Order: sequence, then C-alpha cells, then structure tokens
Amino acid sequence: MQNIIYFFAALVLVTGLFIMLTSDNYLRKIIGLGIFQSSVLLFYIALGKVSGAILPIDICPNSANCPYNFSSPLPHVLMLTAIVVGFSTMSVGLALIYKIYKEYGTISESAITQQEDN
Amino acid sequence: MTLINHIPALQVLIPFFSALFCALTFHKFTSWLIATIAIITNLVITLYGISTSGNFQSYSFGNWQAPIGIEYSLDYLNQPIIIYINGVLLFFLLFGKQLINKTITKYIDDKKHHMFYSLLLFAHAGYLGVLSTNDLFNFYVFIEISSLATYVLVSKGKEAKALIGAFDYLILGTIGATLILISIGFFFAITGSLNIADISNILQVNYGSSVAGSTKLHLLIIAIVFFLTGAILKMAFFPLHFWMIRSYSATAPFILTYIAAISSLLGIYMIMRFLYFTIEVNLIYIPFSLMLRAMAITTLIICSYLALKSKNIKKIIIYSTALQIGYAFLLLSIWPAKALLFQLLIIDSVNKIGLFTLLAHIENKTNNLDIYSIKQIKDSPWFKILAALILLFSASLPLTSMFIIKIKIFELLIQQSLLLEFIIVVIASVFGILYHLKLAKALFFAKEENGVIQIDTNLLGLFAIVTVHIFTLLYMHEIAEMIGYHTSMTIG
Amino acid sequence: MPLNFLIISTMLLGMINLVAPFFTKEDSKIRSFFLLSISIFFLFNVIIIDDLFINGTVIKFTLLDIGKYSIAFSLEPLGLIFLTMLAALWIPALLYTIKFLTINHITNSSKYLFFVNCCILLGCIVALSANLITMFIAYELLTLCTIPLIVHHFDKKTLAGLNKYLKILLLSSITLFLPAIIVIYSKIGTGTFVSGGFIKHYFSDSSAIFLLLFFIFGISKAALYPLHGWLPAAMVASYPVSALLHAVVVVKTGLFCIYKVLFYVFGLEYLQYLFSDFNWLVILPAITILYSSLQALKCNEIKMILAYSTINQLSIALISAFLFTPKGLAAAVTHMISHSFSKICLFYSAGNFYSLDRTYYLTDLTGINKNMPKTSAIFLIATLSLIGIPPFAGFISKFYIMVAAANQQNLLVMIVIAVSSLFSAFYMLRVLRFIYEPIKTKNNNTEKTVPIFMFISLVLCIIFVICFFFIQQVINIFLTFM
Repeated sequence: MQNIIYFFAALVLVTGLFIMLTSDNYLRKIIGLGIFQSSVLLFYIALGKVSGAILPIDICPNSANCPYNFSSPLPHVLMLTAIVVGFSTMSVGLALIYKIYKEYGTISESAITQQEDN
Repeated sequence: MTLINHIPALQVLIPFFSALFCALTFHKFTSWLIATIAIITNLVITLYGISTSGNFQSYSFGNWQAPIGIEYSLDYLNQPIIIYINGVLLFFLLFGKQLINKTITKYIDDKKHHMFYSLLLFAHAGYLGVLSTNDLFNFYVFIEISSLATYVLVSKGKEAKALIGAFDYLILGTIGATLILISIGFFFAITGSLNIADISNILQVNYGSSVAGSTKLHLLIIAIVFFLTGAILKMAFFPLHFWMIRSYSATAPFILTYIAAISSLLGIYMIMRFLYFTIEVNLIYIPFSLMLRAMAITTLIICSYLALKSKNIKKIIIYSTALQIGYAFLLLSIWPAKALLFQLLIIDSVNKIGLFTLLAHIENKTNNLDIYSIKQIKDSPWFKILAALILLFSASLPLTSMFIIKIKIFELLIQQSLLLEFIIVVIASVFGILYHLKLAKALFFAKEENGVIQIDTNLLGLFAIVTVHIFTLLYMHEIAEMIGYHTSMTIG
Repeated sequence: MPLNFLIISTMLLGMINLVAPFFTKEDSKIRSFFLLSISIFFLFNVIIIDDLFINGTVIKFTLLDIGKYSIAFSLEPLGLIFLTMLAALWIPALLYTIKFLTINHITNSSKYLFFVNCCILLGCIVALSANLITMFIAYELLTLCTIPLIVHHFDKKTLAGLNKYLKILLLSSITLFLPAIIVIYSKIGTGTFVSGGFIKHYFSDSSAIFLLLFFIFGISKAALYPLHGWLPAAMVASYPVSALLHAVVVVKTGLFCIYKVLFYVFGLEYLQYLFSDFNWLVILPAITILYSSLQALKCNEIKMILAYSTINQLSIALISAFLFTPKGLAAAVTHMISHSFSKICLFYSAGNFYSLDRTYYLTDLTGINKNMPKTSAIFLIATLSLIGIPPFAGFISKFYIMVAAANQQNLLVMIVIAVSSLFSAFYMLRVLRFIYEPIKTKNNNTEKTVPIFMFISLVLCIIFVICFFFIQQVINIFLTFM
C-alpha cells in the first residue's frame, strides 16, 4: 500500500506526457512539460522516505543519542537540482514561444503548420 | 604545479568561465577571440593531461572521494572523444568565422552576437561534462546543460521554421532526458549509490550473471529500459529520429557541422558507458544485441531509401547522418569491434562536417536547395574540386578511409557469419553511392536555366577537412593504436 | 632494392605528364613536345623493365600496409604485356588527342589531358598490381577518372549517358566484385597473386563457381551481357575518349582483371577441374557475341556500331580465356592486344571523319573516300584486321583462338568464332560501303587534311596492325614465363 505514491507519480508522468504531445497550443505544451517533470520529483522524494522517519533536517543538538530516524536527504538535494533544470528548460521554452509568436503571430501548432505549407 | 591535478575539472570549467566572459564582453570579435583561446587552452591541457597521467585519471571534486562525492574519470573511452570534440569546436571557430558571420549571426540582432559564442561555449562545456563525469546524476545535469544551449543554437536559421524545429527539439529532448532521470532514480533505489563504478560493483556482487532468483531483477530491467529509451530518444536514433529530421532541415547548416558531428558520437558514448561500465552487460547482452541489430538493419535500409528519395540536398545529407548510426549500431551489437566502431564514428563525424560545410557555402548564396531547381555553381573551380573530394571521401569510394572501414566491416560480418547483415550493408552501400550521385548531379551538373551562383566565401574550412581526411587515411593504423581498446578485442 | 625504385621512377615519370598540361599554353608546340617526350621516355623505361624481367629479375614492393590489405606492386608476364601495350599506345593517343582538341575547339583542354593521362596511368597501376585489393582500388579509380572526360561538355544526353554508365559500373563492382574480394581475404588471409592460383583448397566446388561468377560479372568493364550497357551509354563522349578509354584502356583493364583472376587467383587446372564435365561458362560470352552482333547490324550511328563491335571482340577474347588452357589464355591475351590496335585505328579514323565532316550517322559517311582517301584506306585496313583477314592482326589472334579451341575439341567455340567473324564482316562492310560509295556531287573533290599529328598517330597504329606478326612473337616470349 505504501507503493501507491509510485503509481501516482506514474499517473502524473503520463498526464504530463499526454498534454505535451497532444496540445495544439505551445504554451500548454510547456505546462505539460512542467507537470511531466514534477512526476520525477515525486518519484525521487518518495524513494528517500524511510518509514517512521522525520524530515531530513538536523534538529538534534547532540548527534550521539538522537532518538529520531531521518529520511534520506540525498534525493531532496538531487531534486533541488532537477527543479532548477526544469525551471531553466521552461524559460528557454517560453523564450522560444515568444520568438515564434513574434514571427508567426500565433502560437497554435496547427495554424503555424498551415502557414508553413502555404 | 598542483594545477595539473585539477585537469579533469579544468577542462570542463574553462569553457564555462569563458562563456561567462564572452557574455560580458559586448563585442563580437573579442568574444570570438575569447572562445578560440579557451578552446585552444582546453585542447592543450587535455593533451598534456593525457601525456603525463596516461590512460586513467580520476578526480574527485573537493577531495570528497567517491562513492559519495562527485568523481570525474578520464579513461580510454572518453579521452579520445574529448580531444576530438575540442578539435571540432576549434575547427568551427577558426575556419568557420566567415561562414558563422554570414549564415548564422546574420539573423541575430547586431548587439547580441557575442551571446552566440557564449552559448556555443556553454554547449561545449556541457558535452565535455557528459564525457568526463563518473557520477550518474552529474551526467544528467550536464546532458541538460548541453541540450539547453543546443536548443537555442539550433533555433537560428534563415527561416522562422528553425524556431519551430528548436521547440520540437526542446520538447522531445526534455522527454528523453527526463526518462534518463527516472532511470537514474531506479538505479539509486536499487543500489543506493550514484557513482558509476560503485553501481557496477554493487550490481556485480548482487546479480552477477545469474538471471534467476532476485526479486529486484525486474526493477533493474525497467531501469535499463528507461535509460535506453531516453538515450535513443534524445540522440534521435532510429526509430525515434523524425524530430531530428524536421529540426535539422530548418536550421542553418553551418551550426550543424558542430552539432551533428558531436551528437551521434555522444549518443554512442552514452550507450557504451552505460552498457559496459554501469550495468552487468552480460545480463542483457543477447536480447539487447538482437534489438540493436534489428534497429541497425532497419535504419540502414529505411534511411538510405529515404535519402535516395529526397528532393532536397539538405535532406539527403541529414538522412545520411541518420544512416551512419545504423552502421554504428551494427558494430555495437557485435562484440569484438570496439576499435572499428570508434574509427567509424570519428571518420563519419569528419564526413558530416565536410558535407555540412559544403552545404553552408551553398546555402549562403541561394535559398533553393531542391535537386532539380538548384542554381548552377559557376566560376568556383576550387570549390568544385574540394566538393568533389569531399563527396568522394564521403561515398566510401576506394582510397578513402571510409572504404577501408567498409572493407573491415564486410570482413567482420563474414567472419561472424552474419549473412543477412552483409547483404543489407551491401545494399546500403549501393544506395549510398546512388544518393551521392544525386548530390554530385546537383552540385556539378545543375541546369543553367535555373540561374547561377558563385561561391565567394573563403574555402579554408573545406581545405582543412580534406587535409584531415587525407591525414586519417595515411595514419589510420596509428590512430587505431592510439585509441588502444584492449587490442585483444579488435579486428584488423 | 634499387630495382624496386625503377617502378616508382617510371610511375613518377608518367605522373609528370599529369601536370604538364597545366603549365603550358593551349595548342603550343611546347606542350606537345613536352607531353610526347615524357611518354616516349615512359615507353623506354617500360622496355627496360621488360628486358630486366626477361633476364630474370624479380621486383616486388609494397607501398602501404593496413593489416592484411596492402597496396603492392610486382612484375609478372601478363601485367608486363598490358603495361607495354599501354605505354606503346600512349604516344599515338597523345598525338591524336592534343590536335583533336584544337581542331574541334574543345575548351579546358588542360583538364581533359590531365584526366586522359590519369586514366592511362591508372591502367598501368592495374597492370603492375600484386594483389586483389590494389587491382580493385585502381579499377574503381579508373571509373572515377573517366567521369570528367565523359561530361567534359555536358548537356542532357551526356548526363543521361553518364548516369547509366556510372550506375552499371559502380554498382556491379560494389555488389559483386568487392564482396568476392572480401570473401577471399577473410577466408584465406591474403589476396596476393600466385601463379597457378591459391584458393584451391579453401572453398567447396559450388562456392568456388559462385565466386568465379561474382568476379566475372563484377568486373563489368569486360562487358558481358547483361552488364554491357555502359559501353554504348559511354559513347556520348568525344572521340579521343571513346577511342582510347572505351576501346582500349577501360575495357582492356576489365579483360586483364579477369585474366588475372583466372590465372593467378583460381589457377587454370583448378578451373578445368571445376568445369570438367561440361564447360558451360563459354555460353556466357557466346550469348554476348550473338547479342552484340545483332545490335550492331541494327545500328545506324558510327559510334554505336563500333561500340557493339568492341563488346563482340571482348567476348571473343573471353570465350578463348574460358577454355581454361594455357593456349586458350595465350590466344586471349593476343586477341586483347590485336583488338586494341585495330579498334584504335577504327576510332581514330572515325574521329578524323568527324572532325572534318561532322559525321554521326552512317549516311553522313557517304562518299567520304573522295575527300579523305588516306584515312579511308586506313579504315579499310583496320576493318579487314577486325574481321580477321590475313595477314593483319585480327587474323593472327583469331587463328590462335581457333587452334586453342580445336585442341579442346570445343566445337561450340569454333562455330561461335566463325559466326561472329561473319557477322562482323556484315556490319563493318556496311560502313565501308558508305565510305567508298561514289557520289556525284558538286562538292569539291579536294582532299581535306587533318593536322599532321593526327595522321602520324593513325599511321603508327596501322603499322602496329600490319606488323602484328612480329609483335606476336614478342608476346610469346612473355607468355613462356607463365
């Protein structure tokens, strides 16, 4: 039952993928990208959870007799990097969309393909 | 000097910092100069590092040892590639300055030319990081860094379609990289470590070559599948190549001399690093090599057929780029062919650079690249001679290095008794010659009534490529030995 | 060691001729003098090499070594015969080509001469090659070097011809010739020619026969049906190209490669053993002979008739070689040389006709005897030699082929040769009829002359044809070494 979080992450992944691949509007594709990358965040953080453990923040003044278990902090850190990467990808994508809008006057994929075919 | 110990880190950081400097210098020529100096320095220190520390260098960032710290390791697999791509960027900057100005930066706002060089260096630093690192997550981060810069580089071209191509590239590239990230997560879950050497040890200990028994085996298989799918999607190997065709055909050809030359090399590197260093390859080798062989055969047939049927010389060259992966996969799926694989990849890369430079010279002058209505190239005798030589080298006709490699591939296939693959490679070579004939017809025998153009950009780049070709032809044996590769596992 | 250098020096000497046209002005006496003197020196060098060989010197050297493939040269009788023939024909070829270019106002003559010389030198490299891969590389490069000559003046027709030419030659060599070479190299480990063959115990009988067929059809320069289509397609080129290259260098390279494969790779005894019950291999050239004779009878263009006649004669040489006896091979070699001389005379005289009268079709040739009697006489002699009338070259070589076939009691071959001579008589006499037809026109009966160089080259060639008997003795000396 504790693995349901992974199914949820898979659900978010597929949702994001679907939005990315089937949207007509470029902005929606970027949003799908964001959702897609969030699923990976969920997946990693869920990996790091140790059952019965608290957040990986050191609140013990004396590290010798610490009564708490901590979840693994490594995935949290990795995901910080992944969030930054996702954020920069989104900004590049948005910049590209802006340029596309300036060139074509529309950000709908079908309208642009139609324009190109003419 | 203690700086020598930091060479593995320096050779990635120097392009990074030079990129920042380029961005801060608001002047076109200075940024070009900074970029060139950075690459020359990079090349020098990598060569120096190899000559002093030999075949294996390992560097831990901040002296924090693996497997917890991030480690860079330069070994026989990535050192030649690092030197090679430094050389490619050097060629791009030194010999392509005029072409860059005429074909790429012409379409950028005049005040932002320096940003182009800065982006180029960021992409380069990313590629170098992908090559040098020994830590899986660091690997992902550098893939993303290089890809982000590449998306923007690809978006510059004559027509606005380049932007659409770049956007498609962004979407699909990010999907690929995220799949790789998921697979890294699975590896982390299975082994608890992110260091490639460490993961390999743990997998060896726990799984060995036995396929039975362990419940975590299907997790491992899922992880491998995610990684390979992500890598194939990202590097646009067949059958997931369609976005690359679209995005490459819209962008400026000269930037493709840098990007196309490196991306397939890097893709094969990623797969090799993954297969041979991370997982226990014997576990999946047999089904995987069958799949690779199937992909190789379909690539060879379909891509060469599509190249033959294209009506646009740019599309022909791009399909031939996708085609070379077929040969690489074929060799990858045959065990004792590492040295041959690397010779093939490097010579292919040089070929692509030559072809795309040719294309850049032509596209500089005319928009219409259709075979039947291309304008005739007149009064450019040196261009024609060099173009003929480059086409000869690329078509693997005799007395070229590609020909020798083809012979060795044939021989390898006969020795392994792979008759079907042999026939397919012969058919692919035949198609290869046919589409090169088409290219030659478009370049040399265009109809005069379509108009005339004259190539007046300087041809230094083409000279350099032809020299490199002749150099590899004469010194092919020495190059193969330099690449080493445990000669007990090589052919020829 | 210094003797090895002799080959290199000879080739280097020939290569000077490659760059000479670029440094001299068009149609200048200096250019002609330079080119001719270099080619005469080349001929002397080749004669010295021949002499050394007859007196027993053995020269082998390797230029480049890549694993088991190497580019190596060595002297052997077949190769030397071919080399001497090429060197001897270079001189009249140069004499003719230089003046032909001028008379017909062909531009960019330096490039033209460069590639003509290149082709002849590549033919020499094929002659000197010591292993299969060197032969293959020079063979392919020869195809590539003829491309700029065919499209020297390009229009739609030449491009279409070039397309067909390249497709047939390149594709057959890559699909058939190259794989056969690779199979031999990978199975045996070496491809160096050994007198008497070296693949005897490595292949089963049927795979050896397959390999032989791959070689024969892969070497499509020898124009066996159905891979003969490139020859008529290549006739869109100008006369010197068609003459020297497609009647002499290119097709003879094909024949020569087949001879070398038969003798030095397979070995004549092995081949006799493979085909011991019934030699069905001779049917292939027989089909080609019949096909090309019928096509020649139908044609109306001069060059096409000559092209099909070339295919005819090549298959006659091949049919003699496929008898797999030493006498057969010797007769085939003799026919190779005699046909070169006769054909080059025919093409050059036709070129003369073309230069002065723009003759494309047979009917254009009507009554040309009045204007150019000497050229017509040479054409007559060369035709008689081609048909096989004594005492000219063609008769001697066909006689030897008949003798070799009679030795084998191979009735089929003898009949085919006789029939083909009959057919060639028909179609060549057709041409002669047009040339010698007396017409009553108001045209001036003055004799048009070609430049003296072109005429001298023609005379040289026809002397070769007339005095072939003596040349044949020299060939026999070489053949005794095999």
